[in-house]
Amino acid sequence: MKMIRYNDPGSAYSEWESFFADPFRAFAPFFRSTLSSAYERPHQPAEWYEDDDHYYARVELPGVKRSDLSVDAEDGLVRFSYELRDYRSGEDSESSPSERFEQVLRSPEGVNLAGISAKLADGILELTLPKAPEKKAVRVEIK
Amino acid sequence: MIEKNEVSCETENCGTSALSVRSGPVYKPRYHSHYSEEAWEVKVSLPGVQKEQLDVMVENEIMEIKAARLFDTPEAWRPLADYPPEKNYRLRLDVGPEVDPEGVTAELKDGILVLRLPLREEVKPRTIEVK
Repeated sequence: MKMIRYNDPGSAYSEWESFFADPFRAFAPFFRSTLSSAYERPHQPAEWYEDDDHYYARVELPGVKRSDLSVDAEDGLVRFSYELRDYRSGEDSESSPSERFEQVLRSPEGVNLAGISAKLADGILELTLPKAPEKKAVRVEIK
Repeated sequence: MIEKNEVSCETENCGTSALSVRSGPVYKPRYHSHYSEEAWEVKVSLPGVQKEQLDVMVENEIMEIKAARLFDTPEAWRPLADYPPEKNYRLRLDVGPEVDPEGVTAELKDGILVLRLPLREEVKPRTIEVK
C-alpha cells in the first residue's frame, strides 16, 4: 500500500481545497495503487454543509457505480470504499481489472448514526447525517 | 503535467463555445485515453456535471471540452467552508488529422464522459496481402 496525493499543477483549486475544503480536517485518504497508474485517484475532499437538523457532505467519486460502493459510519468517522474499473481497459464490464479504494472522512460529532443516508448520482456521493437531538440548536425563551 | 495531445490554454487561443464560463476557477479535468485500431477513446472525469452543462466541439483538429458543475444547493444549507458555487472544467486535446470529426460520439455516465473518436478509413491499419 502506498499513499498517493495528487495535486494538479494546472489547477488553482487544488491548493485552495487542501486548506479549506474539509473543515473537519479529513483523515489522510489511503489510496492503493498496485496495478497501474490508471487507478491513481486524487484526494477527494468533502464539501460540508449543515442546516438545523442535519449535516451534509458531498464527495466526488467519478466512475464509481452504486453496486461497487459501500459506506460505513461510526462516531466521528465516515468510511467509504469502492471498486474502480480500469479506465484504460476500454470496457466497463465486470471482468475489467479493478482495484478497491478506501477513504475515511472525519465527520462532526453528535450525529445520529442510525439515520445516516447516502446517495450516489453523476459521480457525486451525497451523505446526509442527522444531528443528534442534543446537537440541535435550541431557541432560548426569554422570560 | 501536460499529457500527450493536450493543448495548453496558456499558449493557445482557447476560443469560445456555447457554454460560457460564468464564475469561479477553471479546472483541467483528469482524463485517460487509449487507442485501438478503430478509434481513440478518451474518458474524462466530470463529477456532478449534467449533460446540459457540457459542450464538446471538434474544430481544426482540436477537441475542446467545456463543462460546469452546478449544484442545486438548498437555501437552508449553510456551507461549513468557503466552497465555490460552481466548478468549471476545460480540456483541449489535439486529435490530429487521423480522426473523423463527423463520427465522434460522447456519452456521460456516472460522472465520466466517454468520447469515442473514430479514425479515418485511410489511417486504419491494414493487412497487406503478399502475392
